[in-house]
Amino acid sequence: MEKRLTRKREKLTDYRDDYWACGKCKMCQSIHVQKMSSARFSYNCPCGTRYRFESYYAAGMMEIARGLTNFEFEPTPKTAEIIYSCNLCGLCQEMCYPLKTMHTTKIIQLLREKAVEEGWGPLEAHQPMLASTRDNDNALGLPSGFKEKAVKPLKLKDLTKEKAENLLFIGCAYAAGGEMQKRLESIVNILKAADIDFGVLGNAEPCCRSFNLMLGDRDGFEERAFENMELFESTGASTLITACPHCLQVLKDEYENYMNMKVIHITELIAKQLKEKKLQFTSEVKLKAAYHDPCMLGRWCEIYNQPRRALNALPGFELVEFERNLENSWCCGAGGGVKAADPDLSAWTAAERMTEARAVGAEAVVTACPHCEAQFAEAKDLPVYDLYELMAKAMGEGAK
Amino acid sequence: MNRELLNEFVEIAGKENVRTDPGALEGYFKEKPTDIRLVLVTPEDQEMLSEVAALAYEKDIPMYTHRRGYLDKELAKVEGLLIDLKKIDKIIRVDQSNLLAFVQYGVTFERLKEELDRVNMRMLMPAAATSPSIVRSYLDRDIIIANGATRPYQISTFHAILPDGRIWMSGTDAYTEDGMIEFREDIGPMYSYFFHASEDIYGMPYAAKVFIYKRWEDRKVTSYGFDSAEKAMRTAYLASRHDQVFECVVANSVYLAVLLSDSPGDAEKLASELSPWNVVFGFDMHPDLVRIWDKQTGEMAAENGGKPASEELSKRMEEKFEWPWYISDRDYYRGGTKIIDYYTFANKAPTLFAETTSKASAYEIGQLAIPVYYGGAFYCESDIYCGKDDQEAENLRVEIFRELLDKGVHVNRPTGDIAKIVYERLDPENIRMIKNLKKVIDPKGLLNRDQLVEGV
Amino acid sequence: MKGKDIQTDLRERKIIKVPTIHELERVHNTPENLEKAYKELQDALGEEWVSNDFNITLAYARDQSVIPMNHPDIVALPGSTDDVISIMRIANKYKIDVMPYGSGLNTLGLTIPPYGGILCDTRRMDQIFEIDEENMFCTIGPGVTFAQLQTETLKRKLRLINPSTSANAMVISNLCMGNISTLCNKYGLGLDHIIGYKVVLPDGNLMVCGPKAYGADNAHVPGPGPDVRAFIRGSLGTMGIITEMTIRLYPDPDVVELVVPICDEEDWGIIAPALKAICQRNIVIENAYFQNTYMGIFLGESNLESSRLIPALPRHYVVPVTGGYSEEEVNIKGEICKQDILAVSPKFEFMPWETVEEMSAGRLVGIDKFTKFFRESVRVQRVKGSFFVGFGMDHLEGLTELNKAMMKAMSTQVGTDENVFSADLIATYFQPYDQGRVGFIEFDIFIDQTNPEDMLRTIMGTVAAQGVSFKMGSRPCFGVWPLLEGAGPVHDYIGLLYPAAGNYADVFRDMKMIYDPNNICNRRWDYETMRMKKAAL
Repeated sequence: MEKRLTRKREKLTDYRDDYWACGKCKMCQSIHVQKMSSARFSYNCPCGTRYRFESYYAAGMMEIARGLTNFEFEPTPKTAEIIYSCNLCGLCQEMCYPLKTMHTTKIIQLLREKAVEEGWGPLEAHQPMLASTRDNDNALGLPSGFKEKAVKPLKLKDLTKEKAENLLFIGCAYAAGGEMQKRLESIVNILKAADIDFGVLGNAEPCCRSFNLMLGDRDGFEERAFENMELFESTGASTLITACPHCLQVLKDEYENYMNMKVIHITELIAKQLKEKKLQFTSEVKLKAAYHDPCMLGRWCEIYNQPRRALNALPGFELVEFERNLENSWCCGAGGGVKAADPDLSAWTAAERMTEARAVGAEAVVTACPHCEAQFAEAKDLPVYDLYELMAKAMGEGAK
Repeated sequence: MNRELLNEFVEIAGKENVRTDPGALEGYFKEKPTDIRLVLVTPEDQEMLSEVAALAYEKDIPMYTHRRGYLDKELAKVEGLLIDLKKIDKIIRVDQSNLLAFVQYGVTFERLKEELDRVNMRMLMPAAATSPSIVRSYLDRDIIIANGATRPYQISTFHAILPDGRIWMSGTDAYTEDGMIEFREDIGPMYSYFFHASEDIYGMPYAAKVFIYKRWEDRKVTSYGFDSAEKAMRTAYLASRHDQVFECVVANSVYLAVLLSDSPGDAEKLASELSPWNVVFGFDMHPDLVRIWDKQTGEMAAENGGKPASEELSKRMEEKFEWPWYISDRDYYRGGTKIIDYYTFANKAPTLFAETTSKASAYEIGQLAIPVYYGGAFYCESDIYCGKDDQEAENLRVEIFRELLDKGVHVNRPTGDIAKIVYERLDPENIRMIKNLKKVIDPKGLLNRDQLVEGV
Repeated sequence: MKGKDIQTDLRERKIIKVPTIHELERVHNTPENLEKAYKELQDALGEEWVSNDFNITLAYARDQSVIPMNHPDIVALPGSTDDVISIMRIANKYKIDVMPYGSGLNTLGLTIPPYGGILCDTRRMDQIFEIDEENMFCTIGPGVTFAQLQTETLKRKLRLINPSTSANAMVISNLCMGNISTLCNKYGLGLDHIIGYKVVLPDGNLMVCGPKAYGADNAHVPGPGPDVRAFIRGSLGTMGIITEMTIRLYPDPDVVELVVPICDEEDWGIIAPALKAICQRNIVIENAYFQNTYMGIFLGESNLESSRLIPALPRHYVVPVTGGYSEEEVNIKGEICKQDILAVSPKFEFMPWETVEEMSAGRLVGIDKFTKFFRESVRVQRVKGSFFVGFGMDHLEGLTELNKAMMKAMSTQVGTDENVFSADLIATYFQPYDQGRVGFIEFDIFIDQTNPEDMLRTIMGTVAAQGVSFKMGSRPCFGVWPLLEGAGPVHDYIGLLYPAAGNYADVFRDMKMIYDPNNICNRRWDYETMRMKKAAL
């Protein structure tokens, strides 16, 4: 059978006109000026803002791309360090593309692919993630069988044997057990309360390999992509639902166009059900919290309003907006492999977000991404909530 | 100066312009000097000035320009030149289209006004002038009555003769033909701006292209009386900040009375009729705008307890706004005027005024404030009306100045004793910069030595 | 997976160009001195803030100009005035050049270090120390952008002079150099907005100027005595690095309105009189002349959107932004503007602001902030890489003629007839100053820097246009002398052509030599030869 690729492979040099023409206009270095509320929270790029050298901003990375493809220098460990300091949060491209049609984030991602292809990337710190993916099909270092373990107590339809309209793609993070098990239960309870016909793949659910993609290991990503698509389609479900923004981005951007299934995020479904009054929240959630837009959910998949609709529907909940919100949202610091490669930068980025949360008067932070949540929890600052946890709480008895 | 050299100067400038006779020189000194060695030179044009300077420079002859008022009698003993530029006095061009008048040093406010009146134009008048020369006044950054709504620099470009006779043209005049561009910025670091308020230590400015203005369709002057400086200042601040007025003056009754009268009796009478503090607004614009500005400023005044003053006052002020206000014009009142002038913030000025009044309670004090930069700061002036040559008043002035400086007031253009106090406090690198430019332009230190600050 | 040892795993690669050799025989920036300086800089600033890594230096080697690239040898990120003093002292000790760097956002390669050395990137010094709401001034560090400062000042009903450049430009460096702004006509430019500053001089000494130089209040006016502030305006980083500046702010009017005078005829003669009428009246806060291209660039939220908009827009715009204390006042001002324009140029019509709003109506260009932030859609962002500028100054009437001549010269050079540039490609902008007494013309060609043919013909065209501009008597402004000093014939003949300019140049050289005895601060010409080794422009 002919092997199906998820999408046409791109080379760094396909974007030569972009990185060659970057005029260092600095637009990639702050949030949109007309959305700026203060000088303090005007910066947008975590690695650039932390290290301040031009090379750590998209503009500098464009120069690295130019210099490398123009054979001006050999890549060194520093080159790798710089390109892997980026969270791939996409805010530089969000600023640059609408006007100059430059694909800055894409170029950084392709720089990483070039690094992997040529053998100077990813970093040593990323190796355990890749090894874990190879050995146990997850980047989080979990032992095999963890998904079965997470799903079994929930008594859900097993779509390898049964049929359902929707396939819930749980993702490795929500299946990691511990605190995450509660989140998974919340997700399941919400879907049940919303009267959604769904099932899961259990242990057969593969890793989306978002990490491979981010680290530039496209080979590693594509290794199982075709089989995965076959597997999803074989369930007969029409829609693939996921709650993890990282999984969503991969499934949407890389898979959706090549398979006969629709990919949606759970908040899209929730927003719809809320609108149709098929889902209602009755118990009070007394909380004044800021909603953090996960990069993958917001900028990458353009889902901004649905989580807000859900939060606004929670009785007693007061939604506070970050100064840097929506398209201008500041990254949590966990993405792009930065947490493994540069834990200090990653922690600094999270702390910066927490400072911002305090500045806007929030008493807590809510997010819709397991990685963001874990990242903020580690910052040990304001309380952090998962969106689904709050929703389940608001459903009260209905959640059971 | 030896006869031979003197003759060389005479050859350049003519006998009538090179004077050594006491009669010609005594007038420059308040006290009649006993030993006059200074030679008075009054060049008639810039070429003559340039040649005089070049010769003096070559022969190491110190040069002093007459900038304003009287000179210290000690200066008379110097074997050097006293250069008075009053004879370089042509109005070269009035460019109505580009609102510039190209005038030479000797052109007075009064003369240019006459010229401009003919074409229904105007220039901005100083409120505390020490010289009738427009070039001098504008270069010295004299406070302008309409400074609340215009920038202090009222000069586009100026031309000067350097100590060695070379020519200096500021801005684009340095590298374009006359009449082209006429923009005030130099081609690199703006060293020309060092010439402002420099006591001519860098060069002798002989001409400048000064800003002139159109007169608009309607002209109105209004005035309001207040019972306190705070309320008057607040009103002036609001009107300036909201860009409502062309001229804006805050003054106490004594100041206005002295300004508007010409005899002590009249002034005393007027002072008794006026409110303790007054704000005078001038409008010059389209009638519709004048109407709305008048209404809005009236409301601002009313909100701060201001009451419309007599129309007579407004009328007299309207007339007064047309002319320069010379400090020496106030001497008629008590024989002499000692002025304490500085810049500070609107909310700070009333307290400082009150402190000055109490400190100088033995004297009558006229007080004036004029906003600059839309009320961002105020020019503040306290006039101590004293007898002629009242040394006590002078000592008091210096003492008050010293205290005010301790409280953070800014003196834009210090001279004499005040300059000493200010420059003592000035950042040494700042002084070094002033000195270094002096060294570069005048390595022999011949022009106006020690006139800005000792050693420069 | 490969990647254990990067160096040995590298595939063989042909390095064709390492553009880091700056001078044949280095007197400054010698390798041994660079090494010593690097260590001392690390001690002074902290290892984290100094780098000589190629990966770091290359990001400073190019900008949006077409000036050939040059790497600095070291990049230093000072965090305070003391850090900058350390940099200058170390640089003097080892004769290492220092290139001051604000945002690097210019179109002339001004922050590309011609001979390497230390690049002093001040972006860490991004503190807004003080905003005095009542007395309308603020004090900031050199790393503060217009966007940041304007955001903070607007909250306090104040505004600063936002120049017609990217909002990401640094305030201080812009005030010291260009500062072309639609507010210039009313409020002045550059030095007019500076109350005082702290500057680290090339010799490493700190100078304070303005009222704070003797502990006085920031009372807006220059002094005491000679206006020392002027030392830095137009010096293009050759005379030191400003570490703190106090800047004047202006009231943000309570009510703002814009009625846009438009004309769709190819008649350039109507512009100067209309502009002059508004400028001299001086009742508008901002004004300028925009050709349709400029207007489209401002209004479109993307390049594509602008390209779509531009041909549909009328040719000429005079843009008076009126502000005032009340609605009635603003309406009256608008009416007077209309009357004034029609009195001199009856061909103008007036487009209501609502129409402009409808045209833009984008997600990115909030019309309420249209005049307060020049950002996304300004030409700097529009182009793929770079744009070429012909510029000059003259009285307003002169600008029209200048524009025609430059357009003709440019058209001829690129092989087309006069005035046949597509509207999308070329734009003219007139900025009046000093209540219409003088004006600045900017003549832009938007080019694709990735297209060599486009580049070449535009370079040729620009040279021709600039030549014509000079021939017609227009001259540049804003401190170009630091770039021209030492440039062969210009250097030698300036005094011959214009004696006063020659005298100025002498002063410039002497002051530079006094304050920068080792010629390290943005070195462009050598003291021994009085020549540039390579053209900086």
